Amino acid sequence: MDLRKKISRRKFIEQANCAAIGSVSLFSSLLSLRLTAGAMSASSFNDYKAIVCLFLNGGNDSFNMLMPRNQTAHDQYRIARGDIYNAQNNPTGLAYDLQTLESMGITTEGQNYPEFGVHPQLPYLRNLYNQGDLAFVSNVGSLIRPTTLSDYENSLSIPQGLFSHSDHQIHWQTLVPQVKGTSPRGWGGRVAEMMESLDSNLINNISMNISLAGSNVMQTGNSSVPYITSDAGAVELYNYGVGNDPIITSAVNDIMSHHYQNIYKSTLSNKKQNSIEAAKIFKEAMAPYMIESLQSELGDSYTKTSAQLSMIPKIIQASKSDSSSSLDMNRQIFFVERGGWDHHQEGINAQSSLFSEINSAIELFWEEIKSYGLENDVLLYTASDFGRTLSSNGNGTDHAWGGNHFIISGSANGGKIYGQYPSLEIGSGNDIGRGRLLPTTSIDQYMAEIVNWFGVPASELSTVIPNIDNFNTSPPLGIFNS
Amino acid sequence: MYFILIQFLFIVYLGLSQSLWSQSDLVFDGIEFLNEKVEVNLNNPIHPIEILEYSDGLSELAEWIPVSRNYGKGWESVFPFAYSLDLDTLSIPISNQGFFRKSFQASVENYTNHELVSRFLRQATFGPRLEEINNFPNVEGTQFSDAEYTNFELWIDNQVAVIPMYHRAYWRQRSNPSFVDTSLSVQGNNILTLITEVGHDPTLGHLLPFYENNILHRCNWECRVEGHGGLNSDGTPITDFSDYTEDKNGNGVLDVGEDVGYLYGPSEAVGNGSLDAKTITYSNDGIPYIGSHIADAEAKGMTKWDLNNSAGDTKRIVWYEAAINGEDQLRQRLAWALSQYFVIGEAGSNQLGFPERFLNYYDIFVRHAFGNFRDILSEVTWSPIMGHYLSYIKNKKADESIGTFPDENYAREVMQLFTIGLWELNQDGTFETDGNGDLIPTYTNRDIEEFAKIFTGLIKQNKRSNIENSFSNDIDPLRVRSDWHDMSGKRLLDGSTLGPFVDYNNEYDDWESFTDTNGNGVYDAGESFTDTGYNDPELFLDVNGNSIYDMGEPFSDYNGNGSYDLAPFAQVPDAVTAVVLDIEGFLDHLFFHKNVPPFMARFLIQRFTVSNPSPNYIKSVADAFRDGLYKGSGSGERGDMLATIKAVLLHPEARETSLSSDSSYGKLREPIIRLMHLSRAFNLNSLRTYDWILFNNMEDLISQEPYKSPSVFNFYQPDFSPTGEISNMGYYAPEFQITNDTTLIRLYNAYHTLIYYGINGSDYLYEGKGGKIGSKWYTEAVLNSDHAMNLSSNLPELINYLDLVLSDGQLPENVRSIILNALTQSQLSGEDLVKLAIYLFVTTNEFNIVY
Repeated sequence: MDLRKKISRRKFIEQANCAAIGSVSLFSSLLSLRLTAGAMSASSFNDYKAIVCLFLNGGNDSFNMLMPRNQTAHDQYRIARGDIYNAQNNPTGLAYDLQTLESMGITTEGQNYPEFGVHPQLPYLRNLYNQGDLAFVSNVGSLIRPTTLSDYENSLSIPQGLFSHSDHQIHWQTLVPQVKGTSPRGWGGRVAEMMESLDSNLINNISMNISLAGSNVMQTGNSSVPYITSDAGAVELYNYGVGNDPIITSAVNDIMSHHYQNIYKSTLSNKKQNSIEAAKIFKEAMAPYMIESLQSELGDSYTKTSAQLSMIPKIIQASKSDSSSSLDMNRQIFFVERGGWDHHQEGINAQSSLFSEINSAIELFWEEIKSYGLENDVLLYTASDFGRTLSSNGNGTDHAWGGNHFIISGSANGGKIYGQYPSLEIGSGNDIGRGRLLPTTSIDQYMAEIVNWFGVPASELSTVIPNIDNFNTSPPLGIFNS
Repeated sequence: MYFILIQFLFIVYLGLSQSLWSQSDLVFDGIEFLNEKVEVNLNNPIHPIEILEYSDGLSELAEWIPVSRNYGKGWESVFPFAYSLDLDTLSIPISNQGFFRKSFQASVENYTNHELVSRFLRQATFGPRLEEINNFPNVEGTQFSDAEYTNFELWIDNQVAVIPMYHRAYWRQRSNPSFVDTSLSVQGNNILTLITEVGHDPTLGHLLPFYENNILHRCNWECRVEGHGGLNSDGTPITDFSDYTEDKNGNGVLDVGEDVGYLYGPSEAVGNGSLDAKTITYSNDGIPYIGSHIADAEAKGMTKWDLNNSAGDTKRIVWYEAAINGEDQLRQRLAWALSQYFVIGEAGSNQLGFPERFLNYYDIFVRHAFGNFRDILSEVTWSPIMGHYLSYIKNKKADESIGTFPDENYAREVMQLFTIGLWELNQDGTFETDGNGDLIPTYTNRDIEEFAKIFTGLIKQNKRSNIENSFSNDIDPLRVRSDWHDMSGKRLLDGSTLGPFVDYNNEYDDWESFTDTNGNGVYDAGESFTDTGYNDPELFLDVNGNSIYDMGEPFSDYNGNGSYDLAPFAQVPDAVTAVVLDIEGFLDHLFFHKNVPPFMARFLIQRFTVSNPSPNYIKSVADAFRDGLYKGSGSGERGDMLATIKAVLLHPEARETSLSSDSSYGKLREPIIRLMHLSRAFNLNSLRTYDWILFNNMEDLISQEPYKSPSVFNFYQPDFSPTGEISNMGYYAPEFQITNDTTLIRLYNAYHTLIYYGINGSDYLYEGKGGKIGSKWYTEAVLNSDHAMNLSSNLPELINYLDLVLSDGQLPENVRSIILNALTQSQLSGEDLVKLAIYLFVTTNEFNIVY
């Protein structure tokens, strides 16, 4: 496919649609990736690597995930959050007391003070941090370029649809927050298109992008879509295929291959055909690892999060080219999603139970990854719409901007908080009102670390992360040695 | 700049006689190059449909982009373009090299009246039944089709006249025998619509579960309602339930987690564990041990297990009843569409086992489906269900002493999702842009902070009798707690001020003075003025920082009269009314925003007819919404839903069959509607208790189920665009967002299960494959197609019939041959043959897509 025509056609559509683009050159760079991706060598994929995106849908109140223990900073935190939460005496408060944080204490270099604490329901994450397998990144959010308070007030280069769930979720996935909507497509989709063009092993009915949480923007490219599965494994069409009803099989095939001019009909036929074929391949590859249902395997540990995360080690085993049943893929990106983080109300309790769930699910997942010796080859990172207001709305918090995140990988330089942990004093430098914090690290910088580790060469970084050059004034975060 | 005119088109559909495109001699008369734009004279069409397409000149044939079309109703722009069309002259601003060509279809397949009706009913209902097609107004008439679509409008008017099936009323009639009928009495908050609160119908018995004082009454042995649950042999209600427990560990008491069961009949033990309940002997004196519904069940050959329907599923049992058997199909389809707009879902709600509150919420849409949007907006806002879902119940004004601010959740979503959207729109649904070509946001976060103050001071009503109760009243509209409400004036989107409606904090007692030098009674620029601390209604900018208005300081003149206005309080209402005025005033402010008509128009069109409506179509629907008139008739009130839905269903773009040859025309149907269509067309018939039908856990299976939206953003977004052809062309297709590798196959498997086994929860079916469509023992049901059975010995007739009820008679000839061959080869007959025929039909794209 010639990309030039695509560029001009898109340009035409966007102009005609009066969509806010101002970014024709951006589209050119997004669409020209296959022409320029030659810098990557196919042989570079002999080692296995997987990225797992854990999307906390709704906007995690992450300044209650990672909190300061330094007395002055904790006082600022406590005051900003309406003081220590107490169900009877201070139900509107959102802060955890110093004692709790000390029991969950961690230390770091490179911040204004070394002492922090993690949420009491995250003991496994704290252990990983202390073992050096987990790194936090602080005050991350969608930006187009480094942005000051005055830029924000004057609406200079501000992301589209600020503070709206749907828009911020898209920002995390397209990495092109200056464009409204999903038309720039997802960074994972771009990586897949780049890598699939170089490694024919990756061209398959099963995409290197696998979603355990349905369709998503991140893994969707202009031509590449994720393979979608669930803890049920492959879903096959009944009474169809070898060993099944031959009349149904042949009639379904014939009906499916009818050519349609109508775009919905042809898209539906294509999707159905792909789904049927992919299910067959996936089922065969997964058979040795899906002895019993995940639900019975996990028992009481079966949760919305573990149902997704615990599938991943099985898929990885079925994928690596050195395994017998292999899908033969040495690069994979997984998408996992847990909703329910929009804590306008019941902030403290609801978040605690969700943290407890993800802590346990990650423990199951990561211990299994380690048992296969894959801890240096797998990376899990969190994404979430936005951080939340430091100030309380009486029972919870509202939409804000910058938030804290974490990366888990044996190859990460863990045990450290990266980025700049902000002052939590209301009205301080990053506060744009009510304790909404202007991000100091862009999603791009956070993702650049991950994408570099994954094997995307520096020369192609701006293809995957189109705005990354806007941030090249600051050095890489340095989460991984490269 | 070079333009090449392609005068003809030679595309061939593979083997499809009805849509052969052929060569012709279409000519562009005139084409003019102006600065940065080109004007094309399009000419009168000579074919049923002609489409002007653009290409950059490098594309393959399939990548020509339609720009404008004419299907006999004049030239119009197609989505997403909105170029200016002056009669037949199209003006396109373009600075690139490009090519245009016209494509056309020389002949359009004739639809029979019945096929036209089936097509219409697929858009407007949960799917046609044969008798509904046959009973359509004037369907046998020779002049069925006319330019005004008279018969279709007549059907809509007939639908409006059908007595609505209120979901809550349906439930109340079949649930608590002590619910009193107060439907004719006046009660509740007199500001809002009265609540229709029908009572119990004794002839229907106590069929559906309900809560009373935190006790669940199901129509099983447990029910304590006299005459409806367990009775002792002397006729007194059973109070000691220890006799009826299923004691799995045999310790003689019911432990947490142990199932309850009971011993049914003289010696029959039922249940999973061992029973050590006391032996119960069957009464000989004519009094059953078990209440009336159990007797009913027995008469139907059921066991007590058939009765145990879950309280949490009740709302869906009612929904499926309305969708499949409701006579008021259009009203129910509209209600379903509106419930995907004003979204609530189980995830994010609580006490899911209490049906009445959810049914009551859903009835807002049933009630106002042909009413006014403004009433829906108000009732949704005052609903305790929405109040909980978007967290504004008990929302309080800012409290500096503890550092809290009002919750912003509803202020944001009521704008982003329920009224105006994020971006300024033109009446035809296209985006407005500023001088740089950028979109214009409708609001900023400062506006959100301001409007969060409006949704403060709302709490639930006190508990009362005659409704399903738990800890609180979740039925009646919220009430006001005025001391929690922020009474200040609110700066609105247009710069005007809403309120303040009361003299809060007595600020006006010490009112500002000014020197009215020209004696006109208002503050004019230049007049001397002392601000004693009151900042409303108009704000001033305190340039010297002394917090008072000093002579010469600029101020914001919100109402634009150029003067400082002082007296908003002609009449000072009580505090409660002031809060209502604040909230309703803000809802009015949103309702009258110019975005609402096109925003709602696009939404409704996408739910009913096409995914990518032309700007013309959106404008026509938006005009009907704005003016309250469809072709001159209607209430004349902005927000008239009947005028709006008529504009949706009766626009030429919805009705003209020539458009079905436009490749971007139509939409993928919602998964749940496709299942309803199958259920309706073949009269899904319950084998179990009281004819309930429940498709269980469909959200897990196919990502769509009533009351199961994963968030306030619904199952899919209006601008979702699947990768590939559709997104390359810049089109949307929302339903494809929930059509993926697993849900797609599971939906087809659900068809298969429904056709071959009905709703059947048995695990032995398809073990390990996923795709059950029911696992509730009380809802087994099977399709029933006597008509198809009668035709099973005449394959062509069978196929004609299925084609009519399932796919508007539009099955392509070669797909028809495929099905016919398969049926012949199968050597099946009777029921087996019919099942195979129906299954193959529903795998066709003609069934799954409307166009």
